[in-house]
Amino acid sequence: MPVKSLESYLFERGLVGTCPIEALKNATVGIDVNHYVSRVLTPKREQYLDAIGGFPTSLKTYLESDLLVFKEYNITPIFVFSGSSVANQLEADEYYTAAAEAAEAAASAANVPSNASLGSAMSSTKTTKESILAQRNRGWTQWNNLLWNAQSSYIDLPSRPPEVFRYNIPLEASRFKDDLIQFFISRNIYYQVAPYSSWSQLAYLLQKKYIDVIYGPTDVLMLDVVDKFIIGMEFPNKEFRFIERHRILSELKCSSEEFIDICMAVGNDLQPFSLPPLQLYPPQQLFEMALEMVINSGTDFYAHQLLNPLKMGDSTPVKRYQKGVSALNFMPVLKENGRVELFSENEMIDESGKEPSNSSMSSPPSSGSSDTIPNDLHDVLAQRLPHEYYFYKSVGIIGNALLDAITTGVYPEEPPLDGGISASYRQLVNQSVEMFKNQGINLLTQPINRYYQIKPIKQVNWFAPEDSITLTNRMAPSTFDKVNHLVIKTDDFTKNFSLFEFIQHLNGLENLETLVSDKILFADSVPAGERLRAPFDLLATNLLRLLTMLEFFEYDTSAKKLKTTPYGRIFLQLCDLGVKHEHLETMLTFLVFSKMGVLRLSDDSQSATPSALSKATLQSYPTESAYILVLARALTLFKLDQKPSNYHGPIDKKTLVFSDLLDYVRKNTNELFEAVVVSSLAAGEFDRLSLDNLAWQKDLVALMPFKASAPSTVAAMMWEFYLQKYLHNGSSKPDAMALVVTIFNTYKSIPNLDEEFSRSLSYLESFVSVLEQMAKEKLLDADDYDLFKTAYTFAKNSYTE
Amino acid sequence: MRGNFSHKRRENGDVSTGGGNGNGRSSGPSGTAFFESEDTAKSFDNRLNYLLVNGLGSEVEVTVLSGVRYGGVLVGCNPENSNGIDVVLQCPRIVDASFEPDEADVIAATLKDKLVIKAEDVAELKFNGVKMNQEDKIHKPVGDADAKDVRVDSAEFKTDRDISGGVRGKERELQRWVPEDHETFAVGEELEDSAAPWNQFAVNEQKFGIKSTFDEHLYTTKVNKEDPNFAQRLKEADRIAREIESQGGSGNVHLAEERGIVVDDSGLDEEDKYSGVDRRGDELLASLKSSAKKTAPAPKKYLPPTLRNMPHHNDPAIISSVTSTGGSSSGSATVDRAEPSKKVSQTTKNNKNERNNRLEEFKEFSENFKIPYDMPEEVKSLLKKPEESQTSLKVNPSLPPKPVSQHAAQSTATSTSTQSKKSRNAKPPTPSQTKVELRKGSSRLSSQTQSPVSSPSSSRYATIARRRNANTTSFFGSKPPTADRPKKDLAKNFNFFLKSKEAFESTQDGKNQVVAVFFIERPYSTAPTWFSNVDHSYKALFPDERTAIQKSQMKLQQRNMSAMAAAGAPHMMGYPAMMMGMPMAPGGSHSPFVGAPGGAGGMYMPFQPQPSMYHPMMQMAPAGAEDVMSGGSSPSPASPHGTPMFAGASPHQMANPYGYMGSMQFQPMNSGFRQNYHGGRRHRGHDR
Repeated sequence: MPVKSLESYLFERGLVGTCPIEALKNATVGIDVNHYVSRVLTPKREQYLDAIGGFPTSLKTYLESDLLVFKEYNITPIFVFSGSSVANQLEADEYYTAAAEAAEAAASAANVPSNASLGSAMSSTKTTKESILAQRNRGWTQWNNLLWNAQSSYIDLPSRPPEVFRYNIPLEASRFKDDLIQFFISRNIYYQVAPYSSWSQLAYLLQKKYIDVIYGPTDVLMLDVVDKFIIGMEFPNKEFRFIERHRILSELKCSSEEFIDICMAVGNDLQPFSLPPLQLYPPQQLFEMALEMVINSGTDFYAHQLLNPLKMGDSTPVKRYQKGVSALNFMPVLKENGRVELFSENEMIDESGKEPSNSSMSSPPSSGSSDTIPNDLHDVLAQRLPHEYYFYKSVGIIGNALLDAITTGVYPEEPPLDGGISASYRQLVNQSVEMFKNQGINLLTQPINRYYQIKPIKQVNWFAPEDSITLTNRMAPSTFDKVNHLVIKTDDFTKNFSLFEFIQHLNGLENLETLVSDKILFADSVPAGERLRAPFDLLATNLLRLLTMLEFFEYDTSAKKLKTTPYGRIFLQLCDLGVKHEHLETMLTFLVFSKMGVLRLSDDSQSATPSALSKATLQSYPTESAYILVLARALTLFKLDQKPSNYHGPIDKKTLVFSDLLDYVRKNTNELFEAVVVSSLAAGEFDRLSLDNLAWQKDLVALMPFKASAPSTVAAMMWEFYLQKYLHNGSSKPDAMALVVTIFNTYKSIPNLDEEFSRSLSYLESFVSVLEQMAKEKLLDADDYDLFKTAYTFAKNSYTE
Repeated sequence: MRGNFSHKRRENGDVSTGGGNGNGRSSGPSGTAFFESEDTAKSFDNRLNYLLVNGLGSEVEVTVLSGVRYGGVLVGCNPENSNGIDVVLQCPRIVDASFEPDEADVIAATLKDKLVIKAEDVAELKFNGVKMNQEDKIHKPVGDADAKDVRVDSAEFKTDRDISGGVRGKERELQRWVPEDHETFAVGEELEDSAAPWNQFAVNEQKFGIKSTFDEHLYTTKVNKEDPNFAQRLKEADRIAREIESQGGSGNVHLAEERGIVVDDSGLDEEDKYSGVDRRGDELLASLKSSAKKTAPAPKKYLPPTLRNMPHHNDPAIISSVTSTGGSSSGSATVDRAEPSKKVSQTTKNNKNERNNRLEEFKEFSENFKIPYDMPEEVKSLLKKPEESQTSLKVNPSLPPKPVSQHAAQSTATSTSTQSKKSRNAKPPTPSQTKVELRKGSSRLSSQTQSPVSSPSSSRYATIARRRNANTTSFFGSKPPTADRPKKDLAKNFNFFLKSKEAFESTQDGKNQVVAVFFIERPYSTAPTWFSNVDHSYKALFPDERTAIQKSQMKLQQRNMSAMAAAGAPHMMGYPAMMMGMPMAPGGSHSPFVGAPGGAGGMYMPFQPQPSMYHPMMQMAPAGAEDVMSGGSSPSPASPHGTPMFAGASPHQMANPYGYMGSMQFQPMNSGFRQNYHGGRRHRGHDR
């Protein structure tokens, strides 16, 4: 979040310079991903994204076209993601309580048409997170009302939602971080994940001349090491907008110190709250007001916080202010020596004696000399992790969730897109503690400072913030010890990891016993040649360990025996069952999901969500409606080949609820897999010196499974409404197809509709065979299999006849 | 309170009682006792009407002929009655029934909500507490009344100021409408939200019993689907339809969409597609627009009407002519107003600078201007020739202009330059003389901006223009990045393992010791806390309360000092607030010292200034502000040291726009010196 209202203020005052992009020729531009995404996906775009899930398709188009412009001018972009949140940001995201209220409201409004929450939904004092939830809630409420009111008239033509699901709210770039990372790797674009603030990392890169200029938010103005930076790019005009710090300060007639004082008071990235007395003003004028106060009356906002507490004894604003300024002054960055240290200070100076201190370059603006580094920065930022972990984070091996849980002591569970009202989702959340999080935390804390092994860490669920669940980070024997004898070692450097290769490799073995290694790999006594060397080996070994932890394989530690469980057997058969390579990952996710057993494929989720099908359909064709339900659910795992567009079609909450369940499983599997990979790396099982950054990214990160976010529900809805129309129009395929073409605007979003239909049909066919196998292994109710099989035949007949 | 007119009316009433209730109309039936010339009578009428209008809704007492006095609120009256004034009273009551004490109770019992008293019965009408809003008119001496009334009555054009009478409306905090809890609005109540299709026939039948005899086939050809050739015909029709549709939308995306043609519209939003005017194909206009946008930023400040005629506020196209011909006179007018003490020579110089400034922008415009069409080859070759002379002139603009030879002048006049790094396909031929002018202008411009003297209305403008000019040449200044420069290695740096090893090896080489084995630093060796070098909290880095207050006071002092210094300079008397670049205080306060207490319109003041703090300011005050000096010795408010409070002598304070003072300790000023001081300053400011 940039400095509130500053950007528009600068633009209004004409303090933003314009320059042709050509001036950047041959330059290296460091781009703040959050800022970039917020500039590209303005609130006007992708307003229905939260109702259909998935990755914003238009984002890729913009990226591609912008990259072309960069290429034209030989500009090298470097994208920097933001990492963990500092204490203030965490506090601002205090969804534990606020989001719970929103979720409750959503639950009560879900089934009964009521507009009770509409009035208060858009209050200006809410944090971003709250407004996101409020807006979603509003969207769903309106959609429920629409369904309710249209009951009599809606037969087979679904209507579009009356309310958008995103309005004046920036899109959270963090949600798509892994998708973006995959994209950057595929385009050979360098990226970095900052340990904390992305723009501070950019400032470091600039100082060290890795980049020539920053493209970032207005927060950069607070850094006195950056004089000039880009605030916006107007690619169609081939122009960019930039800001010069000293000019701005002289135009605003305030000193650097006063400027930071203002920024801390109005709210910025590191201190997101608007402090008194400014919170009374409309958000659009905050900066202007604050500046006026400073210029006219020399207001010192810090003094104001001290002298005018809102309530007697309430020092929250003071604390926030202090934390904000301290976070700005003592921001850790990933330095070129691979260590994460405070921007202003060089810890290595004592040891090597050679590195010149840069502290004079960035003297903290308001808090005495730069040489003073207080001893409780962990309260301002978060606790510190080993450099090695930050490195894994910077290349994208591991995400923020578990690491932040370790440093902050809290693993927050946020409501999913649908609001998380279904009982099955909550059950899933509760089960995930045992199945995923405990193991992940254990894996990650075992190799690091002992403090973390006893530190209490809890999971806070948004629906019951008071009843936090304490995660177990101590286990005996540790998770790592339970699986570390499982090793896949091919030493084949040419092989790229994929689930297909993994299955092939396992199926090619005569005996799974060969995967049990006699000795552990990480002891110092093990010669380098016997450790894991090829990237494939690292990922395959750890996938095997993951699947063992998820009980796809059974490993008897004492007998050193490894055998498959029924789930493991199905997993190894997936290719034979006709599952295409691209669907292996989602099918595995589905297997994990079925194993958790929270919801049968044919069962309605608890506190039933209204179906997107019409009442007429549900009543006249109850059997077929059941078919459509299971088909749609299976199709939530199917990724359409969609052209980038702003989706404006119909929505279906019931399908989204199911999609959220699967995505939750996917997310947790991903986190556990990341944890097991990191634990293996940290134990030294892999030759970490063999790869440079680009190889880490290309050979490991790009190939890790479970990273891509769940597909949108569009494919499911296409079939759903196609079949509905088909039912009502006397089994006429052309009519039904025409409907799909119209309501989904397919000519622009899905270029080849027929192909997508047949592709999804063949996907469903493989799904049938997987279910069949599951039924055989008694992992699935036979009725479910029969139902799905008939449903598939029904869909197939409707399409191919 | 009783207004002047109310006395008049009573006199008038008293007099006319004898005359039978005439109210002084000139042609009153028995108005003999009170006769005036027509004009005088008319003016009396006007005054009476004025009184009545203002008196509506106020408490009155009416004495009727029977002697009973009624009190009540005047809600209506009719002065047109020839016998006097009809009066309507709301909530009538009997004030005095001493003439007919017997009937008082009876009358009182019959009184209703309203009482209409006919003109014939009205003996006296007495107003209590009439408020005359337009005070300035009332306070005029009576002798003025005639002229005044004439002015008011004449249907002359009135300005807003006349109408409002100089009374400033109060600003209110606008409040957003929020529905009450019990108010709910079912979505179905809104037309837009009803998704049910509206069937007019069904409603008509249901409501009015009208059955529609509508038959589609009356209006169109019936399609015979039984026809054996139906399939064939349908095909033919489809073919024709396709033919029409395939003719394309001639670039109109919307049309194409309607015709089902697949168009790549990923770059368009809905506005572009459905509602916006298609502006493509007019690249020339677009380029003109985009260039014009840069060169002529709209003046954002409010301009007094007298300044609006200034050339620089108008269309850039007419400036050159104005500045070359009549520019000097109008230009100096502005300067006079803004910087009254400036010498004439200075003003003309400034004016010239301003003109050069404009020209500078034109120059930039011409450089940026691209004609979006391909240029014929021969023109390109023409453009390339005279490079050398141009370059030498351009490269060092700070040098004095070389005498331009006839040849060079000719060549510049007939050709354009392409030597600039920027892509300039075309440049209108410019006489070399102008270039010399421009260069002079730019050098002078820079010298001008270095000095603190600049016209307030044009300073920001000039800065922006200058900045743009500087940056279009190169964003990176003198050292733009080149393609072949070595880029820093992103593959190895930032890699914890590789860099650790590198560092390890470098120490090994240096010390030449026994070769040790490199181990990657164990993750458990990192403590969960960050590096620190002092043993105290981050909170200790912040000043404590006392220091913060002192700092804050220092800041205010500095602000005031600088404001003072700026205003104290003799040539900057005009608009100190504008000179400071300060936004005007909310509520339109005219105080030149927005930051100072008193005149700031309730500006937030973080502390109560100590007496000692004001002394340096007093010494700073320019001579001529005697009232200030005398005020300086007046007693200052006694306040405990360091206690935060507000200086609040301003009447605006009650309508404080900031609204957070309620929580503050509040103490009205008991010394007038500051207000005197600022009052004095303000007057001086205005008098100039």
